[in-house]
Amino acid sequence: MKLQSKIVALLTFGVIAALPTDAHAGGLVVDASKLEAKSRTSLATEIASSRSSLASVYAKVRDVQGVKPEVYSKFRNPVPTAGRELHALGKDALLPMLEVLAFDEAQTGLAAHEKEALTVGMLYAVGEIKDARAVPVLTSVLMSRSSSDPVAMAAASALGKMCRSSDVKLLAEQAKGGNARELAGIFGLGECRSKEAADALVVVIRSAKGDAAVQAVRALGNVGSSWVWAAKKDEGKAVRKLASDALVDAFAASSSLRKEASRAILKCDDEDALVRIRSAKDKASKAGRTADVTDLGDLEARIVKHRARK
Amino acid sequence: MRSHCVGRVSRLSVVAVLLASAGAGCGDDTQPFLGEGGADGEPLGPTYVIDIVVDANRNGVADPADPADQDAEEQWDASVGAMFLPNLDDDDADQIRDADDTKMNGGNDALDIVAFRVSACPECSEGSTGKVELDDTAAANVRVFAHGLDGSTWSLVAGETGTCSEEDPTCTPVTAYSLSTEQVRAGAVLAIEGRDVIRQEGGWDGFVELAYSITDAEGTLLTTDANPDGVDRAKMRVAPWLLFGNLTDFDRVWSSSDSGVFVNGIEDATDAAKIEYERYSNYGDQWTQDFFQTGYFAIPIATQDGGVTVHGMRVANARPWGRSNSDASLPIRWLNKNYLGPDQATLAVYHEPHSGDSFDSHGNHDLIPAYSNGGDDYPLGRILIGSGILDETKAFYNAQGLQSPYYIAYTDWLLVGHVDEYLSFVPANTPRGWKLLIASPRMSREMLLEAQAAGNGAAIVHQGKQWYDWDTGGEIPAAISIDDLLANEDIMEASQDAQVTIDEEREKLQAEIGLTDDEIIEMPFLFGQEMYGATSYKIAYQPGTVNALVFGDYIVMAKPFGPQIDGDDIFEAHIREQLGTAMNDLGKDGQGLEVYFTDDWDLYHRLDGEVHCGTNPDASAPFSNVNWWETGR
Repeated sequence: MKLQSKIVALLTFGVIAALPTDAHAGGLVVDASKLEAKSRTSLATEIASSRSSLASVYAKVRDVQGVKPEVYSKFRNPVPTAGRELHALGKDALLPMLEVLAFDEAQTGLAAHEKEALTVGMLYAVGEIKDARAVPVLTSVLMSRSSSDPVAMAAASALGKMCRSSDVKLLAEQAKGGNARELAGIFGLGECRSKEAADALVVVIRSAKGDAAVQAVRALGNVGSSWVWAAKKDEGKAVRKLASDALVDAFAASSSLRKEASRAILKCDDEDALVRIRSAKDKASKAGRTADVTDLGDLEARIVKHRARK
Repeated sequence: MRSHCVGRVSRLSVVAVLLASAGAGCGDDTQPFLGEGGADGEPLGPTYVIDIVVDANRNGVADPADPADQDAEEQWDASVGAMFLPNLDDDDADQIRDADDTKMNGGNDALDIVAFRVSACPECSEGSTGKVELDDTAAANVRVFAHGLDGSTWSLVAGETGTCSEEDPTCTPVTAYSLSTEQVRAGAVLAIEGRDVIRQEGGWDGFVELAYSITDAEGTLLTTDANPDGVDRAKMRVAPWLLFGNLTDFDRVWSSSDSGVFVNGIEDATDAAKIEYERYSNYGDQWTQDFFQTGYFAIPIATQDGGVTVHGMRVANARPWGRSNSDASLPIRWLNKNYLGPDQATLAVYHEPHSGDSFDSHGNHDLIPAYSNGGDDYPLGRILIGSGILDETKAFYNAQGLQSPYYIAYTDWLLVGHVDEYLSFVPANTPRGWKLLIASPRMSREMLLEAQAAGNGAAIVHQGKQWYDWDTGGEIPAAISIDDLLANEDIMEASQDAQVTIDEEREKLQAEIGLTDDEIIEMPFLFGQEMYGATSYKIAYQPGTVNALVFGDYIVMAKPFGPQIDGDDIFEAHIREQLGTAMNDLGKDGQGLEVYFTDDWDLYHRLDGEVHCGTNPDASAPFSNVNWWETGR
């Protein structure tokens, strides 16, 4: 399957030598004994006390259907998935998922790709709940040397959704060039709609190279996503403008970022984007950079068309 | 060529050629050529006929007396050129494709095999023998039969003479067939069937070069002034495989019978359209669009009243993989048992069973209806594919040369990864004759925002539907208020991402085809996402109404289960207005399509597909209103 082969490709670009090694014999991806004692005890207590009242949710989380071959073979694309199934269980699924992730793997006998799909999907669903009780587990997954890149990125994504200052700082630290979890850090920052996350990504864009730079542009577009800000019932004008300005600058400065920057600028939908694009186009024109002028003109036309469709 | 077909053997040194009469098998030219020794006007010596005849004028008959056949027998263009079919159907109901055995099969198999002739040479001497030759490449891809002189039997005489099939891979291609003196003198009827399709550029190009010669008893090649090299030549071309598209005049729809409510919805529409609806219950794959692809082979044949009609067969092209690792699950196995039959062929283009992935499902392979843009002309439409796809499949599409080069609309951002998740085509009473349907999360969001602004934020989307209730049912409700849906950051993020990509693909498609905005209709539904590996892939969150079954002026799509406001599902109402009225000039008369919704939620939507994914239409002859052989391609 192509989706599976993409995982293999991703496994090749992670540099994990700097990370601590820890086994996770108990949970799906974390060994609870490695968690800080207070967090571990607190989680264990909450899990124990919720077990009877949330018995049916525990049962579902411990028996995810979408990673079973007899179930996913019926999907149109027959690959194992778990994220939407677990997300649909709602907030009640948090403790059952943390139990599975850190204390009790529950579903054994899964093939490697099924197990990874379960882990990634569960981390995604945990992130959607935005409950800080998950942070110790998520941090442990992100920093664990034994986490595959997709798993680390899912954990980073979930941490980004928490979007607390401490989470952003952790992700921004990871997103620095040369770090083992550089891409995961960038990916996670893209899930946090805050000025702090946007600022961190602007720094990354200015310094990152290659794939990391492209990922950072994409992540900044996510931070500035006008539809998500609207969902939050907050125009997010300042953050969207900050993101959009940086993205226009990145577009003007680097031809290798233009495709992704164009998409990201459209997502930010900042009302001043056209002004900044025209300004960049004027500068490029005066400098005789005709190819840049053409690309900026195309971007301008695209935004005009995009607005007309709304 | 007629002017080449008769003559005097050159070794007699006296050239006296009498252009043959129709009886001699050489056209209508009755003016004798008087040789140098014939001062009194009498021809000297015997007259020889070296003549092979194919149906070059496309009237269904290879007629030695027809100058139109004789003159064009070595040509192939939009006006002339003979052709034949890949004989991949099963007329004798033995569940073996007719070209996979070494006999002429029963039933109407004769209609699938195209005759050509060797003209009689009544004055050829005792001991003369004839030889029909075909080129090496073609020989491996065709079978040539000869009709017995007694008029009763066909014998396999050239081309591939072994079974050369998966079951019995012994291959024995023969490039020449020798005719006895009796046959040379009487003439012979031969016939050809294709064993295969054109697979790739650089491989067999689909042409068969035929050559006919006669040798006398002493082993000397007969030559004539007209045929100085002693060989008469002709050319034939195998019919290409062609893909059906949404504007095809479909007369049948296939689907699984597993979901009663889904079947009922499809049946309402097929009954109204008076087309056949074929349901199967013996294959564990409800994604009917995906595990095979419908197309056709066609050629002109003669009718009994002397006219010409289109004959051929519909073709099911199998996906390379099934839903388990066993060979029994392979689509080609099921198709050979359940689809293969008279005028119903099966085909496998892939090199290895169980190869490929979701991109190789045929929902990721579609047809842009006929169009012209600038210097580009696609009278039979143009193949549209998404990302991925096995190299041999792409090579196959382009090698047909009729609906190519294929166009790619990227689908690697989708969880399933198919073009039918965001693009479709419907007939329209416009100069182009069709319009594009395109997924639009933007429109869905705007409709929901409008409903919310009007005070309907509490109205429920997906009322009564369930997500993933595999075992117990009803415990993970899909119902969600408009307010909550619009506040769902994950859905909004996925939907905006999807919209940006859809807009990119739309702009590329518009530039390529020359489509105006008025020729595009946005189909509203939001996207969700699933993280797989390190990437979030998009998938229809609301039922994907663009993923529709289209036949004639009928369209069947997923019931959207949108919010009910003032007694109406606002999504159904919107779509009915857009597609089912004269608003967009849809349908042959421009008065709109017949719009049907069917509940595809349980077996299709929540398993990541919709109505188009779960159905597959096909058509019988004449297959298309454009004959491929008249396109000049």
